[in-house]
Amino acid sequence: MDDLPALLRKVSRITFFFLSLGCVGWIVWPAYKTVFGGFMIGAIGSLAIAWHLAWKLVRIGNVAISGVKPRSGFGFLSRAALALLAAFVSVRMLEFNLPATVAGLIAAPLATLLLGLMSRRRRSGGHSTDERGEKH
Amino acid sequence: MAIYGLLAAAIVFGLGALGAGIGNGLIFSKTVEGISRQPELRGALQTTAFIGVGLVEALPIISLVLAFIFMAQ
Repeated sequence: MDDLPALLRKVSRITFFFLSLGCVGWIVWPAYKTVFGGFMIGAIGSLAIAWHLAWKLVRIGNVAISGVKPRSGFGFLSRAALALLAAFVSVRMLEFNLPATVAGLIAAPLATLLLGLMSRRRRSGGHSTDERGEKH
Repeated sequence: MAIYGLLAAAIVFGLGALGAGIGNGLIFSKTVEGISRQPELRGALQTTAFIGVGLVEALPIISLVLAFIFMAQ
């Protein structure tokens, strides 16, 4: 998987799947709506963080090719602020569950990890380097 | 008790940011170096960097939220 937009689309699709699971859980178990609501807000926040990270990566690629010195940094603070905003909206404004929000915040990184592992496994064909006959 | 909360918040976010800073710096320096050397591999390098940074940054983001919880207590 060498295409960043394609990877981002897959990450978004998996996160939306988590969001739909949260909706189903909210409907089926209304007593735990604070948990599912917090998870959904966290998942939306993690998706925003993933989109922002991909945008920054494309900009850094452009900078590396053009050689022009970037005016702004790499932008961890804005992503941290996004996570904080998601936690604030979830806990203070909507009074959802905080641990569920934190669990939702790792939805997109979890999807990224799974897709990365699958891509690596597919690229190696499920065989170790010894079986492919690579020289050490 | 409030001073312990502030101390816990400082330790949690400080150590999380330290690790993320080192990790992000390594990932991005190698990515920019690789793109500069071989621009045709830009897509693959950006995808690998996205996976790496996404994983590295998950921990400090969680630690930031936890730090604010500790500060509120």
